[in-house]
Amino acid sequence: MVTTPVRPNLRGGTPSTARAASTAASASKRSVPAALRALKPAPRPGAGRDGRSGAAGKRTGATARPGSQTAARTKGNSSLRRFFREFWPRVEGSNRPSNGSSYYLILGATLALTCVGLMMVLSSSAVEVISQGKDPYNLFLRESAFGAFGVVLMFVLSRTSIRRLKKLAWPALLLAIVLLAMVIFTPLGESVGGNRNWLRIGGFSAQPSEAAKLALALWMAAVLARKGTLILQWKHAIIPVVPAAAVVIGLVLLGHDLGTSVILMGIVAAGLYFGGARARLFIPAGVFGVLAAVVLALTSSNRTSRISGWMGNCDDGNDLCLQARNGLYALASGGWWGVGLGQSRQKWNWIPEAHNDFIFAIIGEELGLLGTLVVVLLYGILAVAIFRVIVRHRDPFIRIVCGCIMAWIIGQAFVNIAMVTGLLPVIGVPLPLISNGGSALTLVLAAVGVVLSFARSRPESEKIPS
Amino acid sequence: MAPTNSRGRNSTLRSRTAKTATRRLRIGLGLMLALLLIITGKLFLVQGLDMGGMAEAAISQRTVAQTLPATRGEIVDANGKVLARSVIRYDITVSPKNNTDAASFNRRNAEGKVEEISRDQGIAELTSVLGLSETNVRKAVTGNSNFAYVAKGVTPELETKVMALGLPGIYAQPTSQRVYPQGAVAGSLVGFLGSDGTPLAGLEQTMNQKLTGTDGSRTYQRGANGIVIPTAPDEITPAVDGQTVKLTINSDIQYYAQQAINDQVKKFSAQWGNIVVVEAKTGRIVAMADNNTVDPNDPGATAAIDRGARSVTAAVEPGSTEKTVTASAAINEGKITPISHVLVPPTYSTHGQTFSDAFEHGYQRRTFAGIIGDSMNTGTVMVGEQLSKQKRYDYLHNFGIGQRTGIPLPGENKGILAQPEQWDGRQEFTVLFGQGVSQTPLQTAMVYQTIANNGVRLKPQLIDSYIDPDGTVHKVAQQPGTKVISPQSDQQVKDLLESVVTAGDAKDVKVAGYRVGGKTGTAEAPKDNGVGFEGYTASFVGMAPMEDPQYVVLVTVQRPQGNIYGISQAPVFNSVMGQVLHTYNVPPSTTKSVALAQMY
Repeated sequence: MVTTPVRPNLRGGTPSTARAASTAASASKRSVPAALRALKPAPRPGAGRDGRSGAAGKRTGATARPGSQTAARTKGNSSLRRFFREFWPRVEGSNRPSNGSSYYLILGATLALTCVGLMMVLSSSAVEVISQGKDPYNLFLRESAFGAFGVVLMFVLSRTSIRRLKKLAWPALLLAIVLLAMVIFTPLGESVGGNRNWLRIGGFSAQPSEAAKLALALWMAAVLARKGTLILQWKHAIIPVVPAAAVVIGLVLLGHDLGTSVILMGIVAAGLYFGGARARLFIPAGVFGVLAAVVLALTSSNRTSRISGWMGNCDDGNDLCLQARNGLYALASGGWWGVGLGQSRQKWNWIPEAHNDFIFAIIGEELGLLGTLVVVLLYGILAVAIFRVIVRHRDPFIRIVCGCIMAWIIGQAFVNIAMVTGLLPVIGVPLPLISNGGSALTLVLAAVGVVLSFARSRPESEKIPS
Repeated sequence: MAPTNSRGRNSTLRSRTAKTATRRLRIGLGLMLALLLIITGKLFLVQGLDMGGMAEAAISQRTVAQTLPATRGEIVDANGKVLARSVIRYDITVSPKNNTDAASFNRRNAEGKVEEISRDQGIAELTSVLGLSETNVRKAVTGNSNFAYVAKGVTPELETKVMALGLPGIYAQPTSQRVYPQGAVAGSLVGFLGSDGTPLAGLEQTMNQKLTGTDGSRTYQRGANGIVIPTAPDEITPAVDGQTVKLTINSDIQYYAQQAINDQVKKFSAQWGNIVVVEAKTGRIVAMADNNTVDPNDPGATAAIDRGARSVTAAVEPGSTEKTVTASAAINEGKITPISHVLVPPTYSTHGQTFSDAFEHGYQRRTFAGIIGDSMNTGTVMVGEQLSKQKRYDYLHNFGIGQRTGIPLPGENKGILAQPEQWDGRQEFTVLFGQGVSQTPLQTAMVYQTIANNGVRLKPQLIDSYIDPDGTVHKVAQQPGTKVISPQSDQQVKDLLESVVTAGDAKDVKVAGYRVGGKTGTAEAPKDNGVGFEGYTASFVGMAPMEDPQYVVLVTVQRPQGNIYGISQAPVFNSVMGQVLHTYNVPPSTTKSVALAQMY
């Protein structure tokens, strides 16, 4: 098994027959169970072999170094090579058995971000809420309630079996489409700040587009996973994923919510990418996307002014541009260590609705570079931990769902922070887990719950020894 | 484990898929981490290094530097009566954009209920409170700009009423306004400010530094809606108000003198006139009155040329009042006494110059007192030429002629006293009776102050003291005087002056109960262009009570029509001097008047 012709390729093309040979001989204590496992027959033919041998290859790769290091001619050069060779196993955590650390990393990072978010929502909203003559805790308490509900939902979903999640996929998507259609086509829909993306039923309001993100991720994963290798054919890759996604994105665009539709496109692209659609499919899609972006930007005066503002031209008194400039002012005012929690000056109406899309600027002002880097680091930890969950599993459903959720959370965080720091023009996208917004918070927590349910289930390959 | 063919192909396909999947996962994570690294780098640039100076820009955007204006000090008279003070007034301003945008607004009525008021009603209310025309108010509050004036300088009471209306976009901006409660009284001394607050005339100008004070400042950071950010630095430097300037002027006498000179100038259709009242023992100016005095509340109503104090800005040839200087010099130098005998010819010629008197006469046996008493040029030259030219100059100079008195009023004229070597053949004699020399009325008054003060000349004093905002008084000390003639000589000059009134040509001068002395003056007035003469300068200067003179009063009238002689000022002198003596409760004279023989 160790010398399956497939394995060298799985090591990322490292030509090392010598290392493969030395694997068994110099197997360290740590690699023993891996080696043993590798020698066991595959629980399932084909797929099992690939996945396991891949993992075994990585492990041997990691343990082969001490042997070959002595033979290395230049020590510095080899240690650099060693770093790169051990990089992915380390990141993936595949050089040691699963111990549930990913579960706690995801949970910890998520709860930390949520708490930072609640704290900053209170800090950044209080001034504006008071000036409106309301209770300063108004927004904070609402957001906390949603947070609590989201955490409960997250735990429920993390206890839901994969099979049930798969069953949920189709109904979830249909429900999302129906709700989105209700926003656009029924009087229940409501516009806030020019975006028609709210659904108000009784005293309760929500953004179905947030739910659409999770529904789309689950549904794409279910459909693409069932297609298996058929996805390599472009027709199968496109049908039915692209039409269905087009319906969802189209409905969101009808509500003028460009930001959410950009994130949805990113989720669809991530789904196809992690689902294994051929790379050449992405080239025309990318070209189409760029063209669409140019057309959309040029056909709307609102968007052209956003772009000219991004280029540094605030002369037309554009509110969004002033908002962006004041966001940068806030970040810069924070400096290395921040002006102190609650002491932001830019939140005194310089940044309108600082608790929404520009909350990161207030974090930067109050907590400094230290605070913003901690937040970025938490997103990084979340990304790596989700990635660790994915690589343990061979089930394409899990890979696609987790890939989509990772792209969603990290991508949205990037777009938001890039917008606040001036790398991108102002696109109305909230910062996941932090910005004020009940629907967004609940749904991101739910998405993390889905990832947690995968983190809890042991990969098939690791169930065998026990 | 060698796979079958079909399984092998399938397996190859699947393994390729799996391989792709793993690679793509790594690329995907790599991409995510790369994105996070990009924003980390950008954050480092924006927050850590702040290349664009954004933090600075943010502070300057939020920082508001306010001036806390110092209140300008008051100008008060010797009794503390306010002549000039600064009061708070409000400019009612408007943001026309805010006002126009609000079609209606909410306001609590007297019962505390919220009412909705339409914009039209609001404008109507504002119009009636301000008492302006509705067209103008509507024009001011309508538009797209952010600032306009509705009304300027309204009283605090009116401002309260305007702000109680609660109109959107209407603001009140406090300003300082200078008011002069006494109006024209001492207006030519007090001066006035321009509409922008720059001092333009009088003590307002010369005392500006004392009056101004130091502005304070407040630096704070504001939110975009104008609220002071409590967590940001808020620095206050309090303002230090200006000092109050207390004058030596008595505004009651000032008013009395102004009325008197106004009437006199009108009566004689003169060009101008003024009265100077000086306290003999201290040099304090009690009044310095001009006709047609400017009202500092409305300086524009008075011609620019009439807005100053001519007692210090206008130099005139004094005429016979200067004979007192000649008499003082001759007596002090021992050349003559008041009762010395002089045979005065009808005309007197010396060094090729001939002098005659205002009245025709033959040879007269005059005492020196008689020469001064009838103001004879001939006799004065006969006595005065016994002094060297340098002596004549020295005494004039020592009496303060040709020198600025240093009174703190703008544009003081020092007059013209040429050096003796520059005097021409006639001028060396005419200076003896006050022609060929020019001086301000104040300088003339200070000559008589010297005689009244036993021969010691003091500087005229207009400022009594400076008073700090906390009430601390800084008295302005009188500088030691200059001794011009000896007390013995001075007594003889005083007797000479009293005899002018009792035995000479000025018998119209009388202040009941007081011994008075003085001298008339009638001079040819040089034309304004300096070539030749036009009209006369008529004056009378005197002092009382003669046993111990307390006050000196000088009345000067420029180019009177009709009776052009100095004695015509006697009634004005009498009433002003009487008023001064009564005001200061000077005890009436108990000794007998001196009346020296005029002839022998």
